Amino acid sequence: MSLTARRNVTDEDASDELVPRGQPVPGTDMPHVFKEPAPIPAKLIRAHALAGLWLLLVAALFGLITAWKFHDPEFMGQQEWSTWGRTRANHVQGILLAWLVNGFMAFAYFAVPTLTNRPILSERLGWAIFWFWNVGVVIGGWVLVSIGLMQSVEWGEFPAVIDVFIIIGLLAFAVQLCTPYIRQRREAKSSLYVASWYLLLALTFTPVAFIIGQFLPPFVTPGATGAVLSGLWIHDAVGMFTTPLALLIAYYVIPAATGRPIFSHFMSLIGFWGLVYFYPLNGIHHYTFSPIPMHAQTSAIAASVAMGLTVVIVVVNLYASLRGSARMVVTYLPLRFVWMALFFYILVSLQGAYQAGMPVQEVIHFTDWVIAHSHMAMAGFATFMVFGGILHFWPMVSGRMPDPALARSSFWVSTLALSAMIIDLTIVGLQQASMWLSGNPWIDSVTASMPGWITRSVSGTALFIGFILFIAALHKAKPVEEIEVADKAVDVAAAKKAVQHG
Amino acid sequence: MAEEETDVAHTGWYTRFERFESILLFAGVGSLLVSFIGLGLLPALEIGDQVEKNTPETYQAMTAEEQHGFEIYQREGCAYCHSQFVRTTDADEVRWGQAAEAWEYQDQYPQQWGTRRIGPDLSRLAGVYSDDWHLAHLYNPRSTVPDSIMPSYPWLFDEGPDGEVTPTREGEALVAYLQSLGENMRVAGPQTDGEQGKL
Repeated sequence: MSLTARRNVTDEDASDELVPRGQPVPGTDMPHVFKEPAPIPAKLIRAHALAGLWLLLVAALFGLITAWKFHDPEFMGQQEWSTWGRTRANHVQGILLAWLVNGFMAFAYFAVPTLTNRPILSERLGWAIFWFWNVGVVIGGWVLVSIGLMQSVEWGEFPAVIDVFIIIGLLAFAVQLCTPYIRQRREAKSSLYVASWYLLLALTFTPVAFIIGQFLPPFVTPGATGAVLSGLWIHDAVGMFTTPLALLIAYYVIPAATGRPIFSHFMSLIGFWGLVYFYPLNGIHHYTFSPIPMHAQTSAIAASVAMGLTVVIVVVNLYASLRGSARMVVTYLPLRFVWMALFFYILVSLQGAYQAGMPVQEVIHFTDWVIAHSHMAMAGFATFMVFGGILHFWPMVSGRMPDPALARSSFWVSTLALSAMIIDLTIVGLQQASMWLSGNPWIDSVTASMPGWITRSVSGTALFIGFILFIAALHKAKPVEEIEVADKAVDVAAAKKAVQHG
Repeated sequence: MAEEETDVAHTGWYTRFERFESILLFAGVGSLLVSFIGLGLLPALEIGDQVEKNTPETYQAMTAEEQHGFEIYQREGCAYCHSQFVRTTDADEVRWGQAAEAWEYQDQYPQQWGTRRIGPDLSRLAGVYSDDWHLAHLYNPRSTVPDSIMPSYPWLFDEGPDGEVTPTREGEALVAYLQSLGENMRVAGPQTDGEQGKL
């Protein structure tokens, strides 16, 4: 892979057939640009995106209520349904299942027809999954947890009946989105573009990992054995579902926006296979110095460090793909969100590799610094990435351009609020760690954390406002004449022009 | 940089790993198998052997009431703020006592080890406080620990017509469970010569 600038792949190069040797290959280092792309289910994409965003507000509100109870323990504390343990469970499950699944699926529905030049299996199936997921899984899960049917498995608080729904939903998504690939296979034996690798990984890995993580600890494997499998699942949810689908967005939006291929195919390969084989081995680092056999703990920690290094390769590859496009990172808002998401990604991964180390773990495990880490991953990396993805496809699925001023203010409010929250929780976490080491009474670490917890509530509220601004940007979108909507050709250039003049 | 045509179609051996079925097989299925066997099944089997070998004769499984209390403990999400294992670190052992051993947890479906400590670890709680202390603490944590931020659990109690507060069956079961935490270790002592969990 040479480091020199490459020829842009234009419409003229694009075709449905395999390109002869010696030519740049669209579909390998960048998404295809088909003359007559497959239809995109625009309404379905809009529904998933908007459902995800509104449910994000609910899930974030659960988080805010939970945060508020830290400095006002009796706040909403007299009723069973709103007690701390249940709002926290609803926050965590809501962010993953209500917000991110909807957001990722919206982007997948947008990207797959273009990546494969085949339509999705069935739009009717899509609507069936949409209602089944949002009413059955999300609302159903929240209600059941609130009335006291919580399953106390971290990252798996929805009860077993909802777990069954989730598996059905995940499998339906997999069938829906794998079918275009299978149909494409019959006609062309080509290798797939990087974004597709990540999508297929997430679709196939997650349902099985979910079954292992959700059903074995509560019913089959007690105690320490269950902890091993819980640890696996906690990290698979972040690493083999959230991360690949967020990287799908990054690998798609960057070449689509800049019109240039990914920097290095070799680095794409190393980054992908590194993630595939290191990430699922991270799980036990949540239970260091526990009764789990020590060699399993040290293996998980080694894998965590290897994972951090792999992420460096991925992010360098994606950032290098932007070389010469710095202006566009500033002017094209979707790219700005993606850029910021990748920045949080590299930070959170190096932080995770560092935190996993035994001497660090010994001191900081159980503190709020770990909470800072998880928020950097789910809010910084995943949420910013989905925001970027939604902004990127919105003109093409609605014919309307999101309000640039509101989107920009959403970017800054969210970035600053989240940074404040992360810094605050880091300080609080380190405070707690040193208080616990000092041998002072436990309650001292609680009273000392109070200012930091109040700050967390304030920064969380600001982040919530950032989310509202993002929804407002979509709500105030203005029609764009020169953009042809999905089901027809998608004109990225026109969309970009409109943004830059907007 | 000069515009050069240096890019060629990828035709290396690795392209076979970039196809639909290869991704499914080697990424989706392969890594799942590797991770599940390597860091799921193998440690699990090892733990199973250890538990069998180390369980002391005095070991008492949870009673029906304690089991009920364990369910309340899960329902209220106690594990979010209270860990239930003492790590093999000096600070943990000084503060809470004997480090956790795998056999202690053989009845917990699912385990409640937790990943965050806002309140203290509870795995060595048996006999530290009286039942009455626990009941008062659950009804209003600030009545026993003024600076506590623990939620109160009034629905585990009934209020009589004369204002007298009595625990419900759920409240009593929860206290019974809390009083059983670490009891087995207290009676039998450590079973692994302190080797487990040491590097």
